[in-house]
Amino acid sequence: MDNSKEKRIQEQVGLFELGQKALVRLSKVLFLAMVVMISGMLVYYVTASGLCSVKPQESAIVLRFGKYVTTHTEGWHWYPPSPIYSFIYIKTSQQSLDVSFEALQERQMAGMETANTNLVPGTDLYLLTGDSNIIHTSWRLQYRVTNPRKYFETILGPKDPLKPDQLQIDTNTNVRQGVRGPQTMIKNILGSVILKVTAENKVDSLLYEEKEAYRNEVTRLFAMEIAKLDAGIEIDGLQLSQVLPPLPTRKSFSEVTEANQERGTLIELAEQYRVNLENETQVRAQQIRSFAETYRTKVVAQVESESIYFKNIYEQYKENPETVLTALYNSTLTNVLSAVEEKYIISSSGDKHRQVRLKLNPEPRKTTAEPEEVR
Amino acid sequence: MTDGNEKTKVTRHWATMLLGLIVAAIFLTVIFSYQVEDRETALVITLDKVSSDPVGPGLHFRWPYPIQKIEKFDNRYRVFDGNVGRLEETLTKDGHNVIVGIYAIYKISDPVVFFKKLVDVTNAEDTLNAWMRSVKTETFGRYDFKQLVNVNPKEMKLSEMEGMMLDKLRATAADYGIEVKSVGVKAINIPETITESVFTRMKNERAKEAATFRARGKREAEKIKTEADTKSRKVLAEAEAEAQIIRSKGDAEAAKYYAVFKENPELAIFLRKLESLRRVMQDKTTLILDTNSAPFDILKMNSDSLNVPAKPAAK
Repeated sequence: MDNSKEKRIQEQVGLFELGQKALVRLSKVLFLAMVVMISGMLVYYVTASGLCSVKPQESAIVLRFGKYVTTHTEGWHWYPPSPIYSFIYIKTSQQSLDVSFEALQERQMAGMETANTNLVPGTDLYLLTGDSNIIHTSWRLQYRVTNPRKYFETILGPKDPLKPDQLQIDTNTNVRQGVRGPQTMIKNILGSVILKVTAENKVDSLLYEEKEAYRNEVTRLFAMEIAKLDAGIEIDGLQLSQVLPPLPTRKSFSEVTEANQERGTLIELAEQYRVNLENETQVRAQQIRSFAETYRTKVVAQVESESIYFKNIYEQYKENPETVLTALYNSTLTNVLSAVEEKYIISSSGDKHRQVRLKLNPEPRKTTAEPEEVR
Repeated sequence: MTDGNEKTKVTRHWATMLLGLIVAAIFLTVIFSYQVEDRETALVITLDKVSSDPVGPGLHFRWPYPIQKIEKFDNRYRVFDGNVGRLEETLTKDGHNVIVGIYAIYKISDPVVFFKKLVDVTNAEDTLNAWMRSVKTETFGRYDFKQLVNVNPKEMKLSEMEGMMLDKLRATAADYGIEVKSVGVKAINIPETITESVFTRMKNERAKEAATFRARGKREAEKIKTEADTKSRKVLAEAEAEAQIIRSKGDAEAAKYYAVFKENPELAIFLRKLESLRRVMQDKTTLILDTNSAPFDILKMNSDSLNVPAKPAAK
């Protein structure tokens, strides 16, 4: 009985020891796995977080304990991991920025023409011109960061400079305090320059004839301001996307454009008239000269022929003047009178107070000759 | 035996111990050091007292919190365009009501003074906002409206006003450890109610301009036509003059043939008359003659106009 009890106890102790050993083995395995995992994480951390991978469109500023070391423009580079080394990536490819002074309604519903509302300061953005008119403009700026280190150290930007400017919120009051960052700064500077140049020009100059000069002047002054900022930024271009009068006045401005076009049309028609008249005049003048030349030729030829005719007649006349004269006279009268359509021959004898009443051309001419009447 | 066991334990667990040492080193480094980046300046506050000059970039030793606190300030330029009263009405010298917005580009230049007087950026911008409103009101009150917008560059004073605001703001902010780099006017608006009258004026001006364009078009077109007419008449007159000369030359050339008619002028005149008669008496002519005219005198049996016998001689 005792033996069996002792045996059972020994068996139980043996089982306990076996379980204990198994537990110790499992703990060792788990510990080893943890060590391997931590070592792996360390290796990964050391290798991966120390990798500085720079795309061709970026630059990376390398800091050692926060202090500037170097700038990489592209490729892979390895450094000891954070917090020893850290990398700041800056976009160096071209960036665009839109600055617009447009009414809210216009921003929301582009192209609406029926609006007749006033402009609300702060909501509707606009500019005052030198002649106290109102216009809306839109601009697009292209710029590049040419000196990443200077850019990073000069202008406050987001923690990750590749991200857009950050909205600043007062942590105590939870009130939005506006956006801070390089793009906001550039927008403000450009907006100020646009405002000043606009305030020096007439609305007509800005809308029509001097748009190019307007853009050039804004670009010039903005470039000067950016140079003064000395933040490693270079301007690639500035486009004036749109210049428009306020919506309620747009129809009136269109009428001016139409009137200007009418003016152009009138002038064009007058020019056409001038060209046509010049051509007609040239033709007419040429005709006049030509007729004169013809007359000259004709008159000379005619007189020459008459002189020859006279010489010939005169020869005959000298021999028999009366016959020649009579023959010529009768021959001429015959020819002449035969061509005359209506002939009235009135007797010369008789009463001096006699009256003769004739109706000349009483009817339209007849195609067939009527018998001549002798009265 | 015990030393041997210890040695064996160290040898067996060296990796674990190294890991522990590394973790401990990292932990201690974090507690006893701090980093300052290139863009920052740090202040070390030891037992609530600014204990040193501003610290530049790099890794620095510190005593752990709460013995030492580290305050870092970003020393880069930032733009601030106001919070309360960002766009507010301001009176110009000549009484025009304008709504003006300005911005300032500034940075923390003296972190010690900044920290002592303004504590942090939020508080600093509240103060800066008050200064900006003050200099804006004061400066715009010194200038007429026509000096804000004017087509004559000599009359325009916006840049001068910006310079004036910058000087005032810079002088004030310098005492608070802030450097103001520039001040700009970002908006000049007019009150909402006035925009309507501006629109009316703009419309009237456009109507006037449209009428001017049309009138100018008519005038210019008329001028072109008149000049064309004048030129045409001149060209025709010149052509007529030339034609006259040509004709006179023709007449002169013809005149030399007239000499032959001197041999018997009466016959020449008679022949010319006959020729004229031939030319004049052509178609569509109504002729009224009396019987005295030859050859109709022959109708009168006693005619002797051509000195020929009125009656045939009786044989």
